[in-house]
Amino acid sequence: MTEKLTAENVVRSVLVDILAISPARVAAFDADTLLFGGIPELDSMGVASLLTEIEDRLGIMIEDHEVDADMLETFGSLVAFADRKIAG
Amino acid sequence: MIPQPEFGRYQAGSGEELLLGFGHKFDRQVLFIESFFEERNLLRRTVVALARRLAESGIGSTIPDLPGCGDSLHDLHDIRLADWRNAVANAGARLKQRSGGPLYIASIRAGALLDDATNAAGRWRFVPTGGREIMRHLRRAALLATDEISFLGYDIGPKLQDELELSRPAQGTGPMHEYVEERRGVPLWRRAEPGEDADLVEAVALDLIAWIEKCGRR
Repeated sequence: MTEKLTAENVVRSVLVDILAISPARVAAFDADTLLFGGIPELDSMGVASLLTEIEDRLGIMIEDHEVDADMLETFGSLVAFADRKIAG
Repeated sequence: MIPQPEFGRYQAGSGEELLLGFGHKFDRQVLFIESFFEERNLLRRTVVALARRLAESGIGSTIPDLPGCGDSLHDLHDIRLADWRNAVANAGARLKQRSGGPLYIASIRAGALLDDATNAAGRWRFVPTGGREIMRHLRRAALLATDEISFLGYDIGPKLQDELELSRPAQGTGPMHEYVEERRGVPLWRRAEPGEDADLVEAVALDLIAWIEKCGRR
């Protein structure tokens, strides 16, 4: 089965691949799961790699001024941001 | 037999830098130019594995430490792009003098910014990128950092920052080939921890060896 290329699926797979968090743990993430400040794997380097990888996989450009603690606060806020970027 | 590393030094700026070599007795020699900063660490094992693989095929190589990087005694804060270009020129000249055979440049990622600093029979680039992309990634790492440490702790002086922002790999410098990887998961240089990929090393080494063979037949 091929998973649909949605922002949510991409964000999940990037979290697994970049931060080396187990797929089972990421599968349990919901909109309220805390990311930045909530998972220790997401450090400075992790933030940079996460954003660049999401850009590559979704074909979007994220500007530095769009990146703040709110955008990365929860799994839901990051997916919502990615969804808005895809919609243009 | 597994090729053994050879350690040496070369002149760079006001001092000497270390270099790692394999197969110095071979006629054909490759000068590797590594990527910078965090990418250098993430790809170091891959570059050394490539150098070993080349030696198994009768091609020698050198991986020089650039001033301000690796084990260099130079302070990165004071380094300008010209210092790195100078170092590459010296390392290339040393290699040519010692082997007497053709010299090829193999640059990794942003190392391509320096690959026109010395004459070569051919240039090969592993997924080349510009200085702006490298700086962008480092700036991003600082966006949400709660401490004062910028650029992941790399003390890049303001002049080098500006120079990198404006630098692109040179074009039109003679025979050149780019290795652009097939997408296979997350690239090694974007991971949280250094990794290894033996299949990638083999594929990349074969690409580089084929390029060197092709240059030799010209």
